[in-house]
Amino acid sequence: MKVIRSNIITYSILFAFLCFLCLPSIIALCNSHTTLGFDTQALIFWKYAAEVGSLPYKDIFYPYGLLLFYAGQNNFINFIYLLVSPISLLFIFYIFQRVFGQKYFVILAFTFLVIFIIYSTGFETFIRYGSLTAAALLLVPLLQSKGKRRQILILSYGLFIGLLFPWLNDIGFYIPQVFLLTVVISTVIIRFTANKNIIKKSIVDLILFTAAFVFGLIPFIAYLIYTQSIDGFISTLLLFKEVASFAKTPFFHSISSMDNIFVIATLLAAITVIGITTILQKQRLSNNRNLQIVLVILLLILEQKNIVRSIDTQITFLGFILFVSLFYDFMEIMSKNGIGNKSQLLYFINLCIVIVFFIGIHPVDLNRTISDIPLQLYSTTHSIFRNSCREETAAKNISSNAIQRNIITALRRMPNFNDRIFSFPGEPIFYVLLNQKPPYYPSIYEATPLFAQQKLIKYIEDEDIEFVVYNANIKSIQDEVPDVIRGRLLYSYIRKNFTVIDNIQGYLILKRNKSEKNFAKNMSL
Amino acid sequence: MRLRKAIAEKFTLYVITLSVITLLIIFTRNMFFVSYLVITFVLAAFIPPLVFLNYKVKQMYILYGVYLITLIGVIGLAFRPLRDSLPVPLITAETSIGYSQYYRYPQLLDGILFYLIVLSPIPFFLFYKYFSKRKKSQ
Repeated sequence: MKVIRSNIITYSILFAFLCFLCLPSIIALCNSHTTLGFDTQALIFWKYAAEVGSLPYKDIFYPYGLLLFYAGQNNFINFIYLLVSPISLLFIFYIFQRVFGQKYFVILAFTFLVIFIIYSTGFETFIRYGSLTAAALLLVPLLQSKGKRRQILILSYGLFIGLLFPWLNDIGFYIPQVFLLTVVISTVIIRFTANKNIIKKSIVDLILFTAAFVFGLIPFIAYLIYTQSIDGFISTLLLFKEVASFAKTPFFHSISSMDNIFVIATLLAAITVIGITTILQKQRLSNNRNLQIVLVILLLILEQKNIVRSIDTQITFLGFILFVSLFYDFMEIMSKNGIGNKSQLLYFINLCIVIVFFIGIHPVDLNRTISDIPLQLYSTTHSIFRNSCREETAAKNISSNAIQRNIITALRRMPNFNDRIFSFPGEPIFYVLLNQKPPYYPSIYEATPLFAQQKLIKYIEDEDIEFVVYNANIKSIQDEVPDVIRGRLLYSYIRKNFTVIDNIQGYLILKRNKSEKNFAKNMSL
Repeated sequence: MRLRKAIAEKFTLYVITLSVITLLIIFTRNMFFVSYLVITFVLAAFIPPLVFLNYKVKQMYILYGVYLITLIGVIGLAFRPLRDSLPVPLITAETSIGYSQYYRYPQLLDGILFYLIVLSPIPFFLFYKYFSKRKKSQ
C-alpha cells in the first residue's frame, strides 16, 4: 500500500513538473507566423479553415488528425492538446522504470531524454512523434504479460489505439503495423531461442487486437457518416497512397546530417545486439530486448517516411532512447567486469552531454523558447480565451506582408471583384486575408494527383472565381519540379479560361474570359 | 585480456579523464578546439565497448566489421550504376508528377539500399551460426 501511495505521489509530482516544462508549446496554438514560407502558409490556412467551420476530410484536406486541427479553437481541445506531451513522457518514464531496474539510471536517462526533447526535438514535434513512441512502447509490458491478463491488455490496447486514430492519425496508422511486426518477430525469436511454438497464441493476439482496433474506430466512422465525410476520407487515403510516389526526393544526398548518422548508427547497433543475443547466444527476450525490438520496428517504419521525405531531425529522439537502452545492456557487461555503479553512471552522463549538445544534432530554435516565452505565453493565452486567435494572426500577417496586401488592394479596385480568388501555385494566405471559403487543398503540392487537381477546378467553378493570382516569381513551390508540370491539368485549365490583366510585383492577375465561362462549365471534369 | 583488466581496474580514472574532456568541451569558446575535443572524446568513449567485447568470439567481430565495411563500400561504389540502371517511374496521362517522375529518379532505390544496409546483420549472424555449427559437427 505504501509503495502504491509513493508511486502515485512520484507520478503526480513528475506530471506537474512535465506540464510546467511543456507549457511553452501553448505558444504554437496561436502563433503569429511572420515569415510566409510554404509550410507556414499551410499551417495558417488550416487554422483559418478550423475557425471558419470547415470540416477536415469533407471540406479540406488535413493530414494531422483532429486534435491539432481544433487546437487553438476549442479550449477543451487546447487543454487535451497541451497534455499530450506530459502524458507521453509519463508513459515513457513508466516504461523506463519497468525496463531499467536501476533507480538512478532511470532518473538520469529520463532527465537527458527530456533535455534532448527541449533542446533538439521541440515539444511541437514531440506531440506528434512522442505520442506515437509512447503508444508503441506500451507494447513492452504487454509482451511480457501472460494468460487472460495478456488478452485483456491486448483488447484494451487495440481499443485505445482505435479510439485515438481520428485525434492523432499517426498513432492509428503506425501502431497496427508496429503491433503486427512485433508479434511476428517475437514469435520467430521465441521459436528460435526457447524452441516454443507460439504461432496459435500470436494469431489470437493479432485477431484480438484487430477486432478491438476496428471496434475503437466505430465512433470515427459514425462521425464520418454524420458529417458526410466518407468520400473525403477515402480521397485523403488515396492521396496518402500517392504521396509516397510524388513526394519522393533523393535520400542518400541528405544522409550525412548528424541526426541521420546518429539514428542509423544506433539502429545498426541495436540490430547487431538483437542479432547476437537471439541468434548466436539464444538469450530469452528480456524487457530491455523487447524495448529494443519495438523501437527498431518503429524506427524502420519511420525511416521509410524519412527516405521519401526527410524527417531526420524529428525522429532523432528515438535514436536517443535506443542509445539509452543499448547503454543499459552495456552496463551489465561493465558490472561483470567489476566496474562500479558510480563510474558507469558518470560515463553515461558524459556520453549524454556530448551526444545532446556537441556532436552536431540539430538544435531547435531556442531563441524563441527561452527569451520570449513569458510574453508570448501571456499573449497566446489571452488570445485563446478571447477566441481571437485567427483575427490577431491574420492582422499580424497583413501588417507584415506588404505584397499580398497590395495585391488585395489592387484587386478590390477592379470591376466585378467578388472578394474571391484562386491562388496558383498556392499561397493560401490570400484566402485567410480575404476571409473566403478555402479550397480543399492549400497548394498545388498537396494537389499533385490529377483527381486532386480536378477537385480544385471544381472549386473554381462552384465558387464563381473570377480572378486567379499567379505568383510568377517562383517556378517551383517544392522539390524543384516546375509547378506548371506538377499541376499540368489545373494550369492548362487556368490558361484556357483566364487571361492576364495585370502584373503586381511578379504576381500575375488573371481574369476569367467572359465567353469561356459557360464553355468551362461544360467541360467534363 | 591484460588491457581489459587494466581498463577495468583504472575505469574510475578513465571516466574522470573523460569528464575533464567534457568540461573542456563545455567551457572552450574556440569552435576549432571544440571540434577536436569532441573527436577526441568520441574516440576515447569507444574504448570500453571495444575492450569489453566478448573475446571468445573475437574472430566473429572481425569478420562482422569486414562484412559491414565491404557491404557499405560496395553499395557506395554501385550507387550510381544502380541508379542509372534501375527502372524509372513510368509517366502516363494519369501519373502524378513529383521529383521522381520529373527527374527520372528510381523510386525504390533508396529504400532497397537503406534496408539492405540496416538489416544486413541478420543474414550475417544466421550464416555465421550455420557455418560455425557445420564446423563443429565436422
